[in-house]
Amino acid sequence: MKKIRVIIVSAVVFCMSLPCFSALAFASENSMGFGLTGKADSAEESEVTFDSTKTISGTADEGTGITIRVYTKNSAGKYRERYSYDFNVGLSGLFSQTVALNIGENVICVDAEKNGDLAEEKLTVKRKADDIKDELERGIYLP
Amino acid sequence: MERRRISVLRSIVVFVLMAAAVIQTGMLWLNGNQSHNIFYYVSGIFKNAADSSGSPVTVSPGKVAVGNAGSTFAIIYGGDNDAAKYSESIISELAKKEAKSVDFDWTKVLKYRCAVLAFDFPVPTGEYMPGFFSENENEMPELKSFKNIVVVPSGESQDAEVYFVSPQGSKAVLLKGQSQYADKLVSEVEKVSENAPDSIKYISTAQSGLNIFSSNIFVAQWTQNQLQYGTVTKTPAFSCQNENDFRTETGQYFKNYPAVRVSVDSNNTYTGSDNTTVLKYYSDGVLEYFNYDDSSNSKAAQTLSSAYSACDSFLKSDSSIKTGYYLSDVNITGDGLTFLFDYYINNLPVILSEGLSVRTDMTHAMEVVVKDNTVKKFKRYAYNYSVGTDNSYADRDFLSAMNDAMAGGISANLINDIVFGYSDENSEYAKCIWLVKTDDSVYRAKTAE
Repeated sequence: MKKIRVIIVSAVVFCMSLPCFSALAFASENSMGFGLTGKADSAEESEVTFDSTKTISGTADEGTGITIRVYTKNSAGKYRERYSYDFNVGLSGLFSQTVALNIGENVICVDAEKNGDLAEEKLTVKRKADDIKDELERGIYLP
Repeated sequence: MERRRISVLRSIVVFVLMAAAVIQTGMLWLNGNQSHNIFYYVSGIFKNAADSSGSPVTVSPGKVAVGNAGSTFAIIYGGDNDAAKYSESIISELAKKEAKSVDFDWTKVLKYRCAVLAFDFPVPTGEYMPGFFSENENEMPELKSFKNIVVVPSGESQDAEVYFVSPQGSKAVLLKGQSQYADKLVSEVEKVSENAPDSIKYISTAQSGLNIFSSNIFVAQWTQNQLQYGTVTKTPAFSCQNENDFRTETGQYFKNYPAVRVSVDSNNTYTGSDNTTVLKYYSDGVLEYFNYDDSSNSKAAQTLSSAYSACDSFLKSDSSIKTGYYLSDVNITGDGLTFLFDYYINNLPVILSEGLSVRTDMTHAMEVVVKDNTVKKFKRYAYNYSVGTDNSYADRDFLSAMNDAMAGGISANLINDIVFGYSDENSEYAKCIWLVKTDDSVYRAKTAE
């Protein structure tokens, strides 16, 4: 009986402390104020577009190093780095970069680094070919 | 009977001769002051009636941002393009529709195909709408002025929405209805977007979540780590070696060309004049035109639209201007309304450097003063630009320019535009710079390390 009470109390204490841990983790992730802005819909895992480019914008503390890498899948199904952009965040606390997209799946990784702290954001953008857009606009249904 | 008919005929001939004599005397003795002539008022009445039946005339946007339902935009400088013309035609058709005040969110509107007519100065609504012969200004009490008009066409249903966006960007007046130009604008938006160069794109700061500016702005961005671009060169609009050259090349500015008197002073400044016009061409390439002819003044009240119409006609008839230009500001002075223009080339604006501005006493490349719906003064940095053979590069983005400006004491929430354009430093060729603009200052930042 005593053991059960200890287990219950421990479980309650553990559950109550979870938000604190997650808050600590959150604080750690954002210790450099890093985050992306202007996301189409954060609830969706990937974004579908006909655009040939995607603008990656965000906020971070001054002096944060930002690296943006764009990966696409090759014919063997393996990811390959296509483009890479490096810059430091300035006084405005903002960063923005328009990246080129290939047809198909593009995985965009945004890494932030300041004083040894690291943070990362990842987006997946599926670029569809323009002829699909034309067919959709002409109202042709492809089964 | 026959004698009476001859008498009537004789009276008519005598009356015509008398009228001709009065007009001739007026022209000869009153030296072009036709307003002293009794027929002036009669002709003026017809002239004013003709003025009010013309096509709609409104101030042109400085640039048009064209979005094809994506995250980037193409920018076209000036209002002399199909995207602007179709947009204005849609506005003209919807101008008589009921105006509705709405909350405005850039991100919700820019995700559709659209054309944004962007003005570099707040345009008074009450001055703009009469250009479309609409009395809608009375129904837009909540919107005194705007800096952007967003036109959202729908190609299939011919429906279109027009948003006049408040300078702060949070409120708008909406006009909604069908327009025969909606599908034309859709086609034009697609064409412009397809033809826009991949190397340079424009993003909306609101759509990208960069909400620290005073309102939404469109800023240039490139998809590679650096942008390669062609530098531009300039050539004088007039090549005057002597008085005869000057007389020949500037004849278009004079009404009485054979009577033009020309002189050159020790500073190599050419001065030409006739009875109503004085023209000066300075050695640094500045042209000044003064019109003292009051007879051409319109009796109609001057509005922004009517003054711009006079200014537009004047500039379009100037055959020496071979470089595109866009309206960059309007000022009201004691002399009248002053329209300020800058050139653009390679779809980028050309900005006079600070040194050149001081030397020429000009902040913009062209200044047109209109009073009584007549151009009274015109000052031009008289050069034409062309893309040269040399290339240069830019590797500092708009945020680098903004960081520089903030380090220089400019607050981010006061910034109302960040422009990537050529800077004329009065050297052999012009390279690009960043201009960070607030309402009362302009900060210049370099584009390459």
